[in-house]
Amino acid sequence: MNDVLAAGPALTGIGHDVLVGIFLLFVGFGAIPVLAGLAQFLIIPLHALRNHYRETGPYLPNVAVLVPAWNEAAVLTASVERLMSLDYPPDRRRVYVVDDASTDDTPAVMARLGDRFPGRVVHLRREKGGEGKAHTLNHGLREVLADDWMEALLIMDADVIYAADSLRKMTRHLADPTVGAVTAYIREGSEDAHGVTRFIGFDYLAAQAASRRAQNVAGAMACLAGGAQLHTRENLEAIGGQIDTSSLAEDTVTTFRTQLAGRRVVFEPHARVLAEEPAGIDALWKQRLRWARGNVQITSMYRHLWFRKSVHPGLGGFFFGVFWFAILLLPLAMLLTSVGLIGLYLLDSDLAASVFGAAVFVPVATFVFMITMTISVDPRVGLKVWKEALLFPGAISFTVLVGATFPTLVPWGAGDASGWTLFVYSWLVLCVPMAFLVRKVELTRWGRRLAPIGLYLVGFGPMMCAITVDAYVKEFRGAAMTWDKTEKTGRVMA
Amino acid sequence: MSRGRTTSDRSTSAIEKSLAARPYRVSPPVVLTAAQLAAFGGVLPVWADPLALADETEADRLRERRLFAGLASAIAVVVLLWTVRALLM
Repeated sequence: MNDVLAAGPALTGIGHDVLVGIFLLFVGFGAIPVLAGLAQFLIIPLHALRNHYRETGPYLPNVAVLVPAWNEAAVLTASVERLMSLDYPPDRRRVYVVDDASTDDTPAVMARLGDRFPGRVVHLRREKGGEGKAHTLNHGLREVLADDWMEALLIMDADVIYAADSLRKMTRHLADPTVGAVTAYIREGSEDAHGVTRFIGFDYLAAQAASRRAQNVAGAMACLAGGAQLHTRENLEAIGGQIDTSSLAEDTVTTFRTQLAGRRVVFEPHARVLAEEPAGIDALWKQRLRWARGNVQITSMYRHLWFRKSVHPGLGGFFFGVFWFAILLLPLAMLLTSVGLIGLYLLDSDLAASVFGAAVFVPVATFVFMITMTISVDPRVGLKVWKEALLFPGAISFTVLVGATFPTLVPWGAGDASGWTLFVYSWLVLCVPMAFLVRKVELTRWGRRLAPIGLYLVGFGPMMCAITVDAYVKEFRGAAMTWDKTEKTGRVMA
Repeated sequence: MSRGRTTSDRSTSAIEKSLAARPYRVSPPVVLTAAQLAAFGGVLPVWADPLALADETEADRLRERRLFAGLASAIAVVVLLWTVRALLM
């Protein structure tokens, strides 16, 4: 008994050390998404050397353009007119608008367009609609595949506007028989001076123009953009001639199926497409929740694939797996980092301060590196959204990061700053419920004025994390897979 | 631990090999009538001229070299940040 009592302090010391080790591991886990992001952005410049341009050819196939539409009368005329004026042989493109039982003026708009472009604009109407985009696309696919004329199929959204040279810049990659599909660079198309769309502008710049170049280099594409995916006929037939209807991320399933069927998917950064994106937080939430739930479903659907190069050298590779899970598990990483830092603070505040002080420059430097790199891939958009880029993690997090990077500059560093320190350590996880709150605020009477302020304070990044958490909860509860369509108003102008 | 290659994996690999052995896809040449050419203001559109298409692709390929400038600026900004921090600390 006395031996046990005597060993008490030593055991307490071991327990303390074990806890410190665990909390350090938690903080280390939080570094994984940062390092994954850095690795991805470091390989982007390699796209100058490792790209698909040398394997392209002057290939101008017969292209059927498939446009799913549900109550898109406001945007259809501009969209079809733009397609008709593309710099592409006129007799080698046809537009098929698949009207998902619209209740607006879509049939009348399409009748007028059909008269203006006889034989080149086709109206396909579903009498029973509302089943989602994938079912609408499948209706059109059956019609288009039944006709031998089509050699390539462009799937797009009704609101997107293609740059005049974009289609031929995409088709050139299809000359290579190993390529099954090509996607383009989608830009946020409104000219809004601030708010949600500016954040989306930066988000698209980072996630598409920058990240997809890295995926080109790595040889595995995560997702064909829903509004700009060009397939060869052979590829569509190889993947079953149908779009997946079992998940909310049919674009990603199509991308995975294409690559698993032995064909390459290429991103063409110089084929530019403008798209209208949600201008409000609630609309953005619904759109991104659908994407996030789709990604959760795909993670489970392709569980045999992750980190198994034998299944697919690109999709099953280490790089792609880390990249995929770094995004999917970001909320967990943020939670563990916060718990780790608070735990270290309670056990040994000096050690916590040392860890935080030593580690903080890595995410700050990575953040600055990624922003500069992202802006440089498309300076025209980048210089327009640089403020939103800096405030992507939120004004509060930005202040915290500046304070941690330059502690001598901040007034709150002096004296007893334990309250501030605890706030800094816990904000990483607190910002997620705050993002939920910002969404709720938007739905209140003063929401239109207050919500944008809340978004800038909390940040677009934490909001995406909150949406991922919401996606997990909805999947766990088995919530209905509803297709919350983003309302389009025709704000985008070429 | 790898689960090894499966039947479907082998077929994927076989498809990749057979696709790589295929000739490049070609489309029939675009022929413009005099009336069509007049509609384009007498200037041959890029899509009707294989050489112009090849030039366009080459220009896009060379444009990708700007990524190196982006990398240099990104590194410069990080070094600047580090230097300012070191001076202030």
